[in-house]
Amino acid sequence: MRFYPFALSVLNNMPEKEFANLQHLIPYTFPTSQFPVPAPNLVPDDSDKNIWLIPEIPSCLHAQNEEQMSSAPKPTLESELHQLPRPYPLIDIIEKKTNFYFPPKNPEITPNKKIEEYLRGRRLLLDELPFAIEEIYEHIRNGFVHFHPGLVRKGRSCQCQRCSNDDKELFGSFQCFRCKKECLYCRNCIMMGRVAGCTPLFSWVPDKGAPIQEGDPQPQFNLKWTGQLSPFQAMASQKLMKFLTAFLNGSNVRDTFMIWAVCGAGKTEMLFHSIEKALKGGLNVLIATPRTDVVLELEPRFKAAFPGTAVKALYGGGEDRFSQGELTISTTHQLLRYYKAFDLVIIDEVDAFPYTVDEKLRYAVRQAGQDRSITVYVTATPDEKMKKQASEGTIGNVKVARRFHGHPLPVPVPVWAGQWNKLLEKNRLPRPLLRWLRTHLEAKKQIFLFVPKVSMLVPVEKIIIEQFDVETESVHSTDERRREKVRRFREGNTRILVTTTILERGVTVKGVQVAVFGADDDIFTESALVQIAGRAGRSPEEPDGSVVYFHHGKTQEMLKAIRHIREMNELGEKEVLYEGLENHGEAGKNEPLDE
Amino acid sequence: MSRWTNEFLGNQNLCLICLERFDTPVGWRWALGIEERTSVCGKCSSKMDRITEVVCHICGRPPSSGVTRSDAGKSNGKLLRCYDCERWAKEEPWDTKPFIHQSLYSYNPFMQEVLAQFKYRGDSELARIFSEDVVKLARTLGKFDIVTTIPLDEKRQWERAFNQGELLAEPFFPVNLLQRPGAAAGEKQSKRSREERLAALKGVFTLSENGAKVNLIGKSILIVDDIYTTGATLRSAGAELYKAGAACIFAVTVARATGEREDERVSDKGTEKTIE
Repeated sequence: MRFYPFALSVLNNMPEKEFANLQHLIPYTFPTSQFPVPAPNLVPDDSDKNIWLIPEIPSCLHAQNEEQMSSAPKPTLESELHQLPRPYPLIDIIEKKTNFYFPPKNPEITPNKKIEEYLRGRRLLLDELPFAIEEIYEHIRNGFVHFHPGLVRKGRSCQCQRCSNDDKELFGSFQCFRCKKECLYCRNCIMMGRVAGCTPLFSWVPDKGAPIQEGDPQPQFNLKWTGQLSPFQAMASQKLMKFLTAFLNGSNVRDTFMIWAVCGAGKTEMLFHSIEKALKGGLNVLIATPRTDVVLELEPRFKAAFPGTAVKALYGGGEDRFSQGELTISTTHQLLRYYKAFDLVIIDEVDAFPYTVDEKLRYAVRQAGQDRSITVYVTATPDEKMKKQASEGTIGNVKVARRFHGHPLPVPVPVWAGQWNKLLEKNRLPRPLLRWLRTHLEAKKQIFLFVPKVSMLVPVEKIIIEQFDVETESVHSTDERRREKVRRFREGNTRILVTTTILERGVTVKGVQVAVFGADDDIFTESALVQIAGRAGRSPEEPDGSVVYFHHGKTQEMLKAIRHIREMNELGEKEVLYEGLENHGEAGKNEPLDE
Repeated sequence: MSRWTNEFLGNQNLCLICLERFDTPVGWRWALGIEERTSVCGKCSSKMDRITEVVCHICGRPPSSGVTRSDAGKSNGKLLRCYDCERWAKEEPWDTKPFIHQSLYSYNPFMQEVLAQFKYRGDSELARIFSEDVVKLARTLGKFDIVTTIPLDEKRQWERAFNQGELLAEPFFPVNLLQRPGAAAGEKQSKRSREERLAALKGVFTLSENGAKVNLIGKSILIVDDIYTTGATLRSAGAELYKAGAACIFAVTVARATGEREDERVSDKGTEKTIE
């Protein structure tokens, strides 16, 4: 949309009569300009950097609004502004290196609660707001709502302010009806609605933090979870608590904390006490994760743990995306709509696709945090950079080396399987794999078999059925029956599940044996292999399991993964020996986690 | 050819739909510069279902919906007509005047996704995928003098900030002949059933100021639009043009609904709302 730019100096020097006419269009208060302009020059000039923008409201929107809001003053722009400079698209106005002026909040006006609910802590497009444009403009005039341009020119390209995209190829252009000229738009985040060159992003002006009294009971935030933490979990929980307390006192040095916990350590439970404390301290808490499955899984657990708290789950295709909650669980995609909203940001499974490859999502997470906020990363497989930061001490961190049931992780065994590629072409599986499968089938175990490519799923499934005649299924990411197949496997109806890396995390089946067929493929990175190994031995009853990497030549990634797991086990051993963190079997009674 | 040649020659394209890079084979056509640049990767284009044979020569209905394939083969050069078009032929002006429509693709779930992104989320760049093919398909229908599009009412035009038909017909330089005056607009077509659509469209279109100036008598006119569901929109626009004296109406759309109507309406609503 287009805006009429006004220099504040122009408003200052406006003749009385005209000023009265424009009363309902200009900010309720504004400072007298430092640079008085001699003549009422109506073109914004460079000497005055503060400008006020009046939106151009098309007549077709007028007609409808008149019925809806008869009480509100209705600006009839066309008649009064015809003598003024023509309106410009937002991207051209920002080009002039001007400041948009926004007045402080008008204490005499009570804002619309609905608009506040939509906009607090968010940045939304006009199209996402179900309010009349005049009403929003009223709030801008009175200092409750700010806006800033969606796109900013940057060198030869431009940058989307919502998703930080500045790749020239990812911008499209079209003849825009709103700004009546060729208009660029960002294709990178088009799934969330179009940010074009003339699009303003609206946000609510945050209140100057109302201090929350210490010792305020706030019973609605009470934690109702009664389970007991294992000594390993308790240690991590305490460390996080300390970090959080430092933040609440304002004495923290670092603002990032990493929980490096092995698969099946019971990460969610470690967070409970700190989240309770944060909520009571008046912080806005966000739990973000790259995967929708994880959001769906966490929501009921947090709702059960914090029954009095408004828990809000956000994911693609979810309902009611615009109400506010006290505790927000969200996919990282949804965070693109947030802006400086959270004080405590917890990111679960940071190393999961697509967070690792999509710069947009990392930007979204950064933008969602307040200026002063803490970020907590929870992961089983941190990347090199984070490990380095942790060892240097630039980020706070804690390692949880043992699972909640206190047993060490099963260590993967590499087994040479010859040219598995060639064999598969001849419709055969390598001998070692067949032998391994037979042993575990005879022991009546369930088996997870990971393969590197989707195209390998069906042949492998066929050969297994021919050879062993057991219930076997294969599943991949775009499989329509994915959920159903996984459920059948969980219930034990399927003996062998052949799958790609999509099931490397999140799926927990009791007493399952794990094999990676073709572990030397590029797709199996250290983190993937560690996650896959983490599927085995999750339940306290059967804490051991076989994990085998069938390969044709060991790769660095395989060796790193094995080393990783060994080191974690050793660390856990040390803690048990020297710090007296013996597991007394009580924590073993906790419900199985991550299910 | 191998990946490195593609990288070396810079022959990597960005798929307009999935935003991923893909290779196009390098061959003589490429070297001579006569190869058509594709803007959609193999994966995405394999999910688009091109309509190659029709069972109705009027509305371009593909086989599988309503009429079976075996009937389709037995035309022997006769003009085939589906049940819907029989019904239309009983009404003014279709009992005497011709109407020919063809679509590029069937409106399968993938196409619904793509067109929802194009129309409702406003990804206008996607028009580039189709506009060339729209031109080719239109040329096969016959000779036409004027190209026009279905107008949007002002409010919707503001909402969407572009007219999807105009973008698709861009290579033809479409002329704006019709308009949709006033408050009759209301709900979107995609949210209605057939009966509602027909009732709602009575006299929606009128000749625009521009259209009144153009001499339409004896002209054949091509209308370009994005989706054909019942044909009601296109036909009511066509009827208006016939009133102004047009001789023949052609229509080309990107996607044609083939399945159950009820389902489409529901899923259409669905896709529109799921903006991630």
